Amino acid sequence: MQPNDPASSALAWPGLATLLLVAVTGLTSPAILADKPDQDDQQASPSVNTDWIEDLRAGKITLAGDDAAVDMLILERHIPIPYDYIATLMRTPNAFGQGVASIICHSSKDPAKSYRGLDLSTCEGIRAGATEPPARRLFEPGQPAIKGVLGRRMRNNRMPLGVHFSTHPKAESVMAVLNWINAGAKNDDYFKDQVLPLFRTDNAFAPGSPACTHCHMSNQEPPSFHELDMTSYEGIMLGADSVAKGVDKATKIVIPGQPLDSGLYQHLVEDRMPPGIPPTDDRDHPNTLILLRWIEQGANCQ
Amino acid sequence: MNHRRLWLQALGLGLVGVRGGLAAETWADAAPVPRIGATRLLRRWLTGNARLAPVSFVPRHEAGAHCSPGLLFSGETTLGLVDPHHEDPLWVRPHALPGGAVFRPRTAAGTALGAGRDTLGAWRLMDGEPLWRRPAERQWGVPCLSEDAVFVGDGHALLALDLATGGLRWRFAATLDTLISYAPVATRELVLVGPGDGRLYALDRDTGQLRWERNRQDDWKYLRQLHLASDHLLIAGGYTEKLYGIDLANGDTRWTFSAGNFINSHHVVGDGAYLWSPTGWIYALDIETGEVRWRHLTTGYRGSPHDWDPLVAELASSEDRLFALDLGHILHVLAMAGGEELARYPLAAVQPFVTPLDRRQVALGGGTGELWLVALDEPASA
Repeated sequence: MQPNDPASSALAWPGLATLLLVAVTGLTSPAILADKPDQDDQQASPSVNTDWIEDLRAGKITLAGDDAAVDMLILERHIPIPYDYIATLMRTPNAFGQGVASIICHSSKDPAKSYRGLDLSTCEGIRAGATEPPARRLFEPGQPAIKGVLGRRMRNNRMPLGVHFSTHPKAESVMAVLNWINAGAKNDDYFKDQVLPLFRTDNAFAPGSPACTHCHMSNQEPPSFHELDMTSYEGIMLGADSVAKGVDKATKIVIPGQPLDSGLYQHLVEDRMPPGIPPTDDRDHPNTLILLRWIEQGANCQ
Repeated sequence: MNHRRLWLQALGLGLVGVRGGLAAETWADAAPVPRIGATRLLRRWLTGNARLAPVSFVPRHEAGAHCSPGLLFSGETTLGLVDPHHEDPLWVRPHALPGGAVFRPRTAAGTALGAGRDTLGAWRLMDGEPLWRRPAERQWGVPCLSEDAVFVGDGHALLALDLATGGLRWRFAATLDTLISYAPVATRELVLVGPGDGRLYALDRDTGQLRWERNRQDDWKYLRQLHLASDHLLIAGGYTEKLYGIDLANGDTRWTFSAGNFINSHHVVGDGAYLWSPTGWIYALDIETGEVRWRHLTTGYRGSPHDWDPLVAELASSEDRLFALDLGHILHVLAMAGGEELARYPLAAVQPFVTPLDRRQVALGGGTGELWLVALDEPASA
């Protein structure tokens, strides 16, 4: 049994939560709480602090979970995220979980000095994305960020779960999946003979890894992870989370002809960042949520 | 994993005694070296299936005339009942459920219910006499049996059926193009269901009339498993990696626990809720407060030979023990009070479920569809 480790990064957040709470509730001393701003003042100068105090009064504040302080104080109150904070995150080790600072690997547009020619040391560089061909942006400012390249790389664990960072992403099996999607993802002999069996085979995509179908076997009991059925063509094409969104709106994991946009391929080749971060680290680290919110707010450089 | 496979190769069938093999190795995370326990195969039954859905333990008071607890199984072909003390099954019936029985068979009021996605079927528990069948209009979800009723999703609709006849009592329609896939739960007054539309509905048990609903799609997106902790508290798993304690009187959230990755299933017993998440931890929570009582690291994803494989099988418990079967076919037994791993039992290939009869005996599904009754011997003291 492992007792809670107070030094772990995830559990360090309640400490920060407490500090934030103290900082804010310091302004909610009984004297101030007794002096409720009148209605005119509230309308004339809306204040996040006034809103916070009102919500405290109304008993609307419940802090649950390690990231609750960030949720309650920042995200749910739509606090603008300044670029200064994002710049700090990019320069700080362990900012998103165990790992080096982002700018160690991505500090220049020169692909000879920086992986993928990605410069995370400047706002312009972050917005520009990877410059090494094939160049691609990491996100669209002002748009939902969770499924963008940056959102995926910060949150999604590579599959099979626990696969080591050093595992070659262009293994023959991965290329078979890539080729199948590129060719239109048809239910043809190539799929039946070369692709589908991979999902049913231990170690197919990485040494020491279970078959995909161990966890994604269909919607039955025990529940299949993400209600995803990788035992059949129909299940794969239906996609994940069909329970929630309906059969017509399930999260498609295969986009015929577009492997780079297909979750199936993405999950096989994209490592979660920072490199080597284990799946044990919370994928919704508060700083990750703040980074994604900054993107959704327009990725403003000011 | 390679280490485990070497063990399995050495074990042959696998259900033979193993002692102490890992004791000489270092435990990379400085936790106590897990003790390896021996298993003894007490009984095995051929079921006529290549794959089994999770097996249900049938308590003595439900088992009927033979006055002994039973094990109810179903697979792609048959459904049957065995007495743990007898070599021959009490009865086995071809169920003819299209696509096989994919949900755990359930019992109530002397009736056994087998369920596939296309058809529900009921049999008399005592002797396997067929009672009724009912096809789905769209797709059955996981059923809930409560006294004389079946509550089950069919596409986006929740149906209340008479357990004795299969007749429709009432129908409640949620949002089109979503599925009621996970099982509802029933109290003496309410039926709670969380379809894929992001709402939690509380319906009158007798009429299906809506008592209250909570739309928290923005938070939990949709709910997965629901378990009753008491007549006033529901423990619900959300898509967004959180577990919720929900007041049954009005749907208010009493507490939220964030697991850090998805929660596929959770186990509620006594005053505790237990779950595994791919962050590599088993958590034990206080059901009244959601506070973590203990957590147990199953894997650090660092390649330690003592790392567990992921858990697909639902956690199970008996008396003071928590049972966790990983995908590497190793059964881990934890103390429910403190979370320490008391023993681990390497097995031959088994299917992803464990059904405890008591703290020392479990039912397992063999890799080829046999049903096994296995004794878990206490490992020798370190």
